[in-house]
Amino acid sequence: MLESETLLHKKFWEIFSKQDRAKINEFKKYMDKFAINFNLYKDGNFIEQSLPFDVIPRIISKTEFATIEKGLQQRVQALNLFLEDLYTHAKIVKDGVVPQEFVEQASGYLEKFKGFSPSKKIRTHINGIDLVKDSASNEWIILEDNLRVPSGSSYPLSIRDTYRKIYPEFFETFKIAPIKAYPSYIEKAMEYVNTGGINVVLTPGRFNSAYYEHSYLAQEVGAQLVRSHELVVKDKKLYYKNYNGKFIRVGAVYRRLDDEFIDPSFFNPESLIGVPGIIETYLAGNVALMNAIGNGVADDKGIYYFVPKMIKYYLNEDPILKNAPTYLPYFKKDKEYIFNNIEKLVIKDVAEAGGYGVLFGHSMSELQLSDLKAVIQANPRRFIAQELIEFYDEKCYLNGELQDRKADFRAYVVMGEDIKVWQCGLTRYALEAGNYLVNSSQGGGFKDTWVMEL
Amino acid sequence: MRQLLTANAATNLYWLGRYIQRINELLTYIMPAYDKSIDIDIDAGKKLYKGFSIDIEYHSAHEFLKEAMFGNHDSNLATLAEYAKENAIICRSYISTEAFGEIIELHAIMKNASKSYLDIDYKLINDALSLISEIWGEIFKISQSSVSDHFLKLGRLIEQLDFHLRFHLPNKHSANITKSIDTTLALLKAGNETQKSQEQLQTNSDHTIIDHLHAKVTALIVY
Repeated sequence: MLESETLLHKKFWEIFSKQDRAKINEFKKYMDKFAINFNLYKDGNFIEQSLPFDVIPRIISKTEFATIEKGLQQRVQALNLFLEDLYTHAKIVKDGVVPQEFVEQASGYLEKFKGFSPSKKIRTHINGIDLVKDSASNEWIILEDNLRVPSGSSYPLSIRDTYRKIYPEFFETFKIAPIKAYPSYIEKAMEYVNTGGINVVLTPGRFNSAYYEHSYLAQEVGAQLVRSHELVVKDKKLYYKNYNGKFIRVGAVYRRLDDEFIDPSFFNPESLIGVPGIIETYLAGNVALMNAIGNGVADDKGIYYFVPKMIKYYLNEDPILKNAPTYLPYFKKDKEYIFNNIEKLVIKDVAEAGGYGVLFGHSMSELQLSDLKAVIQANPRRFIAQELIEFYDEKCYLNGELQDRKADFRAYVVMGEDIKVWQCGLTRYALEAGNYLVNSSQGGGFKDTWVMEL
Repeated sequence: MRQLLTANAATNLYWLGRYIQRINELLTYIMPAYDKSIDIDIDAGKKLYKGFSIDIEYHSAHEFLKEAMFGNHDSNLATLAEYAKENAIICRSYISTEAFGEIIELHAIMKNASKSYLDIDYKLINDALSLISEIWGEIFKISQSSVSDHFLKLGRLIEQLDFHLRFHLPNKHSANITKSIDTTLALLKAGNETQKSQEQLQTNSDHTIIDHLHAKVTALIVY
């Protein structure tokens, strides 16, 4: 179902109808020329490919976005407070708002970091919050919080300049929020938490799927792009190895690798992409890691259920943006509801990401549903169930014609001295009509997002 | 002059300079040999490639182009462009966006041409040379004062010198190149060598000079 057309949409189509559509090819050429890639491994082969781009932007009015902005600021503030509390005094657990057992069983919870507070008590520096617009309520709904290493911001950043060159009429007609400030949000956040030294972006390397983004952001943020062996720890301090053999102190690391790979001497000893000793440095307060280690507990799909309660608990406010109605089989009452309504629910494996481990009850056979119930019964903490949100489709111009596709919206929120919400984001659309999975790893593409007014 | 640069980025910038310039030089030498092989001497191309210690076989001028550019040898332009692209991807945060885009484009036209016999012609050479001019123009548009620029420049100069020496071009030209190399090395604080590259021109064989200069550059980079 498509969102009802607003005046902004109508104006957009008026201008679009007068444009030379042959020029749409220029976007693909631009992305190929500048290797704006999202790489994949398929059957053991490394495939370099650009992320599919659709020319029809998602349009969000400034008024509507103002609510999203407030809601996201509120949510990220609460999530940061939750993480800081959880790893220090754990009052929220002691007060029974979030069950201890639930926290301890979250795969992202790292008991070893209990008692440690990072620079300026900030843990959720760069966040990607996934939202959809519900066609039933016409409200924006939060689907997922990504508080570890959210990717994707470089794609709309890169394409916007091209859009302005190819179709300037839109930018002449509308007041579309400029988006170039995003890297400066990251830069300022890095400076704010920096413990003394330069800023670096730590990449797993050239064959990572998001390497383009790593190098792009390093350049835009004014940080050095480094691989693990270009950093070294001495006396619990982190240093950048310059080409001439000099060591330069590092104060903040925007790391683009997961917790378990970041330090082979602390986590996975087989990691070849981590920096031995970096965790010791971090725990000594001599470097800021962005995002903080152990954030995985807060973007656990099970913990998601408790975020509205966190907002109430820490901020004494009602959530501005709602969660999708969610049920935890961990709770007896919820489990009963799930088992009685499983055919209309979406079941998610909390350990999975990227669109994997998502099961739609309506598309499963009786036998499959029965098997699923048995698996849930055996391990209730592993799953959550959600009401299927019928989120709006977006018009896409695919293969020379307009087609409808499900689309979500990843908003980027950066926390430093203050909390900044980027007035853009990554609108992701599904590869096939009717598909609810929009993830890039599932073959989906992206659109520009225009926060605008007339 | 203070710019942070990892050893990996420095190495890739240096090799990027070398590969781009190598493609440039090869194309520049191929053009007159191609003309010559049409009008005067069908073996002109074979003689040219002897200079690179490469034996090629062909029976027409067009075949020469195909063999020279994409034959199974170390100077295969598609392979060189692939190397340059890899270098550029790794050190893209040190080069301008436009230059990066042109390197990717150069790789694309070489790769496509290598797959199609019909696409290998005169126009391809002209297009590639234009792109390389644009790449150098973009890279050195603003200044040549940063460390990253110096590594690129060293790669370019050493490759130029290699071709000058291989084809015994006037010593004056080689001397100018070595002077630039010495200046750049000195800027990167390698100036404490007792023997300048210029002096080596008088005393060493071509091969030794290039190897020695390459060693000087790699000695600058501490892994």
